[in-house]
Amino acid sequence: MRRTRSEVAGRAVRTAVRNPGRTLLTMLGLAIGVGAFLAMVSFGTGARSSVMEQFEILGTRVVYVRTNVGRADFPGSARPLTDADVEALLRDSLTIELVVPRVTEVQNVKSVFGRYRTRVSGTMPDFVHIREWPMLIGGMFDDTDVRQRAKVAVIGTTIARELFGQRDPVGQTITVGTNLPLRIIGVLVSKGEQTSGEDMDDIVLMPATTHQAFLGMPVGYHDLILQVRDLGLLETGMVEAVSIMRRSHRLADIEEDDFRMASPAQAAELARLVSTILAGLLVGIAAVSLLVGGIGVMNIQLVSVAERTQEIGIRAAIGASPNQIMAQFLAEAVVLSFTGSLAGVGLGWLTATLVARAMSWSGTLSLLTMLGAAAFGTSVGVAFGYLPAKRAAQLEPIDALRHE
Amino acid sequence: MSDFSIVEADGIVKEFPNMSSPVLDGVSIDVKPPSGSGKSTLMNILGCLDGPTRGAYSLGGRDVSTLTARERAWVRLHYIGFVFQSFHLISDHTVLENVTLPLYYAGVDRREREARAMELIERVGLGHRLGHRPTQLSGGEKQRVAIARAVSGEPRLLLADEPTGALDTRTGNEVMELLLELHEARALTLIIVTHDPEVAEYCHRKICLRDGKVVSDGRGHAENA
Repeated sequence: MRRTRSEVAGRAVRTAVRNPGRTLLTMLGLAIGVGAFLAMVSFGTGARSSVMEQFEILGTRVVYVRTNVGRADFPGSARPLTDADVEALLRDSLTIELVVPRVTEVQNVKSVFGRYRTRVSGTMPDFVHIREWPMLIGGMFDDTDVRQRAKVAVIGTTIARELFGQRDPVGQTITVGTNLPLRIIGVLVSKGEQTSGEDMDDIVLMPATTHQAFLGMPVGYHDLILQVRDLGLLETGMVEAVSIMRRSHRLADIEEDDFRMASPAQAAELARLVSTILAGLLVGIAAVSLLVGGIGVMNIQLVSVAERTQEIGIRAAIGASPNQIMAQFLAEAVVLSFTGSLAGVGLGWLTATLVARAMSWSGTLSLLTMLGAAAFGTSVGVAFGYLPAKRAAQLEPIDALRHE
Repeated sequence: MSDFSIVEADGIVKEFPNMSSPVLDGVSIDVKPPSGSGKSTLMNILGCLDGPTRGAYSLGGRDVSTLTARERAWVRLHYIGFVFQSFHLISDHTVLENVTLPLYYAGVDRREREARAMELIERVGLGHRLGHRPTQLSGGEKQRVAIARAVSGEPRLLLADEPTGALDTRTGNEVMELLLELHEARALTLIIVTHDPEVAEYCHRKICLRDGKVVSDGRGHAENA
């Protein structure tokens, strides 16, 4: 029986080859369907993983507490974020393992080679740990530097390029504002641009104490970066942080929070949800085009059955069973849709690769996805080839024979 | 031979057109109808392409009048060969492929069915035409291919519907000779439907149909037997 099956397939291939124009057009319909399907799956995956990458740049277990001081949209009088808040969080929380305060101001920074307007932050050594941000060269300032209000700085690669060009910035001096010279002790590795267009490498860090001593800190810290012990504790950590902060700010029950909380993980979750819904819609549209391809197969097979009615009658008269006649037409549908689907996988892979390259996404199509799409396309074609094949098998031999 | 009957049809009736046929117990018979007499219907029933509305039809001792479409296909494959007036070869198949078709459907493996088909094609004198397509053949050649195909599955009953209808007299006679040769060599029951008296002369038994009814049934005086 296996031998017969391969013969049935061979005969179906011959029939397909005999009518190349029609065969190619039918296969094209399915190829476009499968290709669109794969491309959309890949866009969805690519967009989602790029959201995840963005989120990892901002830290995975991280919560931001931002000050409301000086914010026009906050009606009450907000208390500044202070070292007391930092201490309270570290002391009272069971879930928060790190708290890094940060004060950030836009300042003019200059070296002997150039000047640049950038964000200058006063923070703690753990900043680079909490943001999972390794050093390119040199090192981060340490607790001693913080204690001694050392005039040292760590810069991002954008600042290094703008102020020092190709030179090694470590050991060089920059002047922040009018008269605060800082010695550069390290350069952070490049994190590139965020989706928002924000340049992550446009950054100057110094000890928070140095910032406070020489530039002042009129509104307290701008934000506190909290890290929970485990990603699963993020929600709990946020709840805990709110209550500790309210207590630390001595807020009455009726008062609103005078600070804001945000977590990149939650934002990423939202973005991921949105991109998942979008990907689902795209895949849905692609599935419709696959369906149209399947209808194309059905159409062409119906035409083929109509054209070959007399041939079917002859075969039936000779003694071909309804099943054998059905197998013949189903085999043709399989050949058409399998070849079409393979072409579609090629098409989809090409599109996905080009788009991924343009968007600098990493590989987005797994072998399994491609095999799945090919199998799916083939089964769509076969499902739609079933009706014409059934019709051929059910023809009355006499009527079919008389058909001209 | 006359006490062994392959084909037995007893009072079979196909409604619209109405017709009946008595016992057909011939070795080879000839159904001789003018047009519209019900010969195609009779052929379809005898050839298991269609079932009778009433009446019994048995083939090789087996009642085949109440079979399903699928069972009839099996009977056609193993018991019956058809020869048609307009040949009915499959146009995009070669001579060899046309002749192997019944063996293909019977599940005979490729090498064996090609060997058997080639032998038959030699036998009908077309050994040099194996790879030709029907459009490249003359009418007589096409009918020879059709005959080779009809007997390749080694049927016990060969039904020929106006086998010479599309051929000139000389070619027609050759085809008739071939049919009779096969009939004798293979102990094959041969039923020919024709309204050509010359063709009818070849047969041992003639049954005349008119308006769907048998009007006469008699032994022919063919010398070929």
